[in-house]
Amino acid sequence: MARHGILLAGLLLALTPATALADDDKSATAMPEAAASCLSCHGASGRPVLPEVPIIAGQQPAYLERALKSYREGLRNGGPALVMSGIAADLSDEDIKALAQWFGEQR
Amino acid sequence: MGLSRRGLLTAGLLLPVGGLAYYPLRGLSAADGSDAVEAASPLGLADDLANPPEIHASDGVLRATLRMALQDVTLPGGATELRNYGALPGPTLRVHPGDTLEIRLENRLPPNPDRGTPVMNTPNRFNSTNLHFHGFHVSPRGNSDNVYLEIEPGQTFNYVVQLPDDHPAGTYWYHPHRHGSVAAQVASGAAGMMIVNGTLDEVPEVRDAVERILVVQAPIAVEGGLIESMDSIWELTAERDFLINGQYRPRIYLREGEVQHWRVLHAGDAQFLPFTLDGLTILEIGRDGNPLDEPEEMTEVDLAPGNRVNLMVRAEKEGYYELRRPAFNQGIQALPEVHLADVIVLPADSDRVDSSIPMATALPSGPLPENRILTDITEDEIVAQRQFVLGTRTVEGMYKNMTFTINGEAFDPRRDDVVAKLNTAEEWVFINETPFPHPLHIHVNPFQVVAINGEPEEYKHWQDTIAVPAAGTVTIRTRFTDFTGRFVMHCHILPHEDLGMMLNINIEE
Repeated sequence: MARHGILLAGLLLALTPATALADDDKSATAMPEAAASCLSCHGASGRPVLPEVPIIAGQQPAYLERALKSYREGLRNGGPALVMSGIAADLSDEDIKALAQWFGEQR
Repeated sequence: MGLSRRGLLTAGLLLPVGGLAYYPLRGLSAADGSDAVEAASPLGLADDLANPPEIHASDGVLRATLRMALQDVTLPGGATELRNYGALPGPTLRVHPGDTLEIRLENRLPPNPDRGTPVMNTPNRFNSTNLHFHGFHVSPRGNSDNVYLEIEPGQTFNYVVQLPDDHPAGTYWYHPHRHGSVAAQVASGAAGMMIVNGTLDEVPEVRDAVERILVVQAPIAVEGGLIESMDSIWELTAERDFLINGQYRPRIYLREGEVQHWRVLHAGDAQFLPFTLDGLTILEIGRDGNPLDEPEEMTEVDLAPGNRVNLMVRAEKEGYYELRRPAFNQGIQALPEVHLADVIVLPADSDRVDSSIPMATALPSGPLPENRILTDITEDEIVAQRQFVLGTRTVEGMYKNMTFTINGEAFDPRRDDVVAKLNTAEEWVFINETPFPHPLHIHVNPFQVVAINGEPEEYKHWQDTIAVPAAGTVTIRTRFTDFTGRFVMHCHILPHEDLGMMLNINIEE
């Protein structure tokens, strides 16, 4: 599969279980739109294939929220943190809350 | 030194050589004043991997004609038609620092079927071409290493490339670099090695060793012949036939105890090439075109598309070994193992190898030759820091509805993305926001790799192509010396380059 093909397919794969989850269990949150840019590296539902990328599925939402804000404000920096600070730069507080909640719920 | 090498290769020609049939000479020729050397096994064995044919500079000038044309070939994957310099690979061009290359590039490809104005950053005009001298520290202007040129079908262009007197000694390569048709042409095997013989070759252990050229290419046997659409090469997992010097799973011979000097070029278009040769001792002495400070023992060598390496290989014990690419993950894509070559170690006194062929047994140790151009760049010297984010962007109507971007922008030849002053040095951080590694190549000036994923590098390699890990970062330092003008930096996964992951650097007085 092509690089971008995988990227897109990864997104689709990620979307499918999320949707399925929402269908099966009405209490579960739908995947926030902003999550699309997370899944290519962090994997479908927050379980990455890349060995150096952290698993965020099931992580504490409060921790995820603080981490994303720290990336956005440049409090975490250098090395791989630079990847995240670029991605978090465009996220609103609402986006961050929704992402933290949703990834925290994934198992 | 160059003379003894030449003498050795010429001696090899006197012996019967089986590999010759793979190198029809129709795509290349040495013009007046340059020496041509035909393909030959460096050990003079009929079934040994032959070094590709060579063209050597003579009296400081290398004159050659490269003919870009259609080539009918039968690859392991099937019969197909390729766009290249008449052979897999093209001839090796061998020069010394201070030499001038005068290359006549003839574009003998048929007219482009797409004649309208091409859409920037989409695959287009696969029959238009030009020439890049990958890794050379030379002028990017005019008829030198100028990748903004477009040589249309039927046209001929004369490149004149002048190497500085103190150019590093190492392994380089040439290939087409016309934006929009780069991937299609390089994936067709349009590439050849260039060697700058110099200080590295004067190291006694290197000088005395048999020299082996390994040009790794990974063409795709496209059904129905020619690559007419990026679709045939787009998939990272498309079935590529890994060839060395145009041969599928060749045999490579050494004698027990023998040390050979291997120059390895990864001229593939997309897949990475980590490789192993278990059972033999491998010392790396040069990376891209640049000698290391001292030899480094390796168990696995990792080449991204575009990388080269100089290795000293010692056969420890008679027997059969395998040159392999192990199975690995290129970002989130798993790629299978590839059996690249059979390596056969003969007894030290084997009568299969003519006794006139020298047999070196010593590995180099201690410091390797220094070079002015490769002087460490210290923190004090840095005048600017820049950051480059590698990503993708959805753009409706583009190929696959996407572009590949640097700092959010796809390539625009009219835009100066970096303007810097001659004789200054800068520190650049590459941030990869995608789940695939991107090997970045910067033209004209080599750079020093100072950190990967924020971890400082213990030894700061000089390179011209560096893989930025998936979801990771690389920090480099580069010094703009000797040449003003515009050149490019880009991803050497060539479909990514064609789709926009490239920018312009303008060096001013």
